[in-house]
Amino acid sequence: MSKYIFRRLLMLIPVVLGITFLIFLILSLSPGDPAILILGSDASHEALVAKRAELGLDKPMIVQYANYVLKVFQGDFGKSWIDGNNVLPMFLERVPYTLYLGSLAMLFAVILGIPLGVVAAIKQHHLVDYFSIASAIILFSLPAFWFGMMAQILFSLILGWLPAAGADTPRHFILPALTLGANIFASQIRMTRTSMLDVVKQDFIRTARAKGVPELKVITRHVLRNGMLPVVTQIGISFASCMGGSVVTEMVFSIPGIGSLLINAVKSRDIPVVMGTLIFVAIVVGIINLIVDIIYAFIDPRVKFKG
Amino acid sequence: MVWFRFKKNKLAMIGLVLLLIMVAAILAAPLFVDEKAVSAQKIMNRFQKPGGAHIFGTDQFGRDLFARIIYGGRISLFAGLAVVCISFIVGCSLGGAAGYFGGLVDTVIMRVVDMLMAIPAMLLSMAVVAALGPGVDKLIIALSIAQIPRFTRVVRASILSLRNQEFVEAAKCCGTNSARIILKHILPNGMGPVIVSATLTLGQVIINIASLGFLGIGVSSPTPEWGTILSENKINIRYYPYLGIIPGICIGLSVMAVNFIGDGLRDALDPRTKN
Repeated sequence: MSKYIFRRLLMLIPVVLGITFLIFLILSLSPGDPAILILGSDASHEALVAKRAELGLDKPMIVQYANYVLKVFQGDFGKSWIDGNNVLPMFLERVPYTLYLGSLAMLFAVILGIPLGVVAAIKQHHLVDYFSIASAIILFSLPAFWFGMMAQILFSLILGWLPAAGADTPRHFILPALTLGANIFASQIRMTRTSMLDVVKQDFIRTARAKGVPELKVITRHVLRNGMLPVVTQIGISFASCMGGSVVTEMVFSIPGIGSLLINAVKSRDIPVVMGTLIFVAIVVGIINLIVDIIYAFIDPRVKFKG
Repeated sequence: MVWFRFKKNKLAMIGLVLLLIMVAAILAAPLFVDEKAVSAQKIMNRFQKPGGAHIFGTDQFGRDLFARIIYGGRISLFAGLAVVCISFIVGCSLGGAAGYFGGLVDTVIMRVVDMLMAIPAMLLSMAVVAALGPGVDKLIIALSIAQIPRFTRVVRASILSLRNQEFVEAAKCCGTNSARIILKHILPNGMGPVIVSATLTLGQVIINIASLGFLGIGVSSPTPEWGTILSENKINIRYYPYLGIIPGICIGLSVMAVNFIGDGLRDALDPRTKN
């Protein structure tokens, strides 16, 4: 298994190389001169030429790319074009907030979503089923930032139960985690319900019931275990989209994570920061997918690791 | 047959009717709302509650919210449709080529797709916006680039399942060229999952456009767009809740309608999925 994990981690390298190359390609096609962006449009010609040389922009695109990649493998993600700070320390300072928020959101979505999906499947066409479907439809259709804003107004400004913004205490993360988790919660309900309903109709479930296995045991041992595979896949996919959604949630609740860093970088076209963020996200998503694949083998013994 | 099954699905029909009403209202907007009302500021009229002369009320600058919502829908819905169309066409071409030719073409296309899929769609769009700069056209390109990989995958999977079927072999025997086989024989037969995927993607794209607008990196103010409208009014929503509720409902209803249609199409195209 360790060989499998090692191979999968090695496979992240071409992904990172490819992503950086694509962004470089888009950048080389895009209008605007970064030197003017940094120094302003009234900078002298000499200053602009010097800045371009300093950033390595006077070299061909492929050389710029090779230099960048070499530096990244040495742990140097470059400097921000706006404030000149190193990108990596900026990152490391903000990563914990994003990961904490993402994990809390996933925890909330999984802990509430899966049981509700299971109950909805068992009690198909009952009130619980209709309630869970309706809430999934509503939560799936509304953008996270809208929920965030409404939750902020209701629970912070009107009722005063929870802090509206910031990231000082765990209490600050309750509303953001609920906001970020709302969409994932909805997809968990849908996925679990559908998956369970598929399994419930199988012959082996009928056999289990026919031979007198208690209902609880049928659900936990037979239905859940067999219906969990697509649900785990969904958790993996959700965690990846969670990284995307956290950008919006962090902005709504003023959480100093990777998301707010990325937004400001996009607004000011601070490319080294944008690039660093994408590399980081690609690595995190890759590792999450790997973890999901490993969990598969534990849930379903039929799945084997193949190097 | 598909339409017959689709028609029986009540939620899908509700979705279709809802979406048609919204599209008709947006297209016919110039007939009942003057375009000037979108940006006409009347500070004396600020924060008028919904009703009377202003059905949806007015915002902090006294602009008519109904006019802004209905003209904003053009961007929210039609830019969404444009994104889906572009990614659909490019995804079909790439996925079609990858699935039909296989070998090196497949490997190259799918490795690029894998790379793009490693980054969440929202973040990829933001990175492209950072590279291209602001503007509706660039927003459409950015969102399309993020959606193309998904379409490519679905189309490729669909084509792989059809590539070795007898009718394709027969077409090959008749000497039909590859492009014609893909366009005339394979794509029409494998379109079901792709159309479902396109419909469900539209819902997600509408939310992404609104989210980028809200973050201030999509459509920029004062151009109306549902996410931008929410962003403009965020400070005042506490005191004037309609400023938040109405744009939110518009986004929610359109996404819900599109999702209902997508689910209905999925059930209609593949009756086995219906419980």
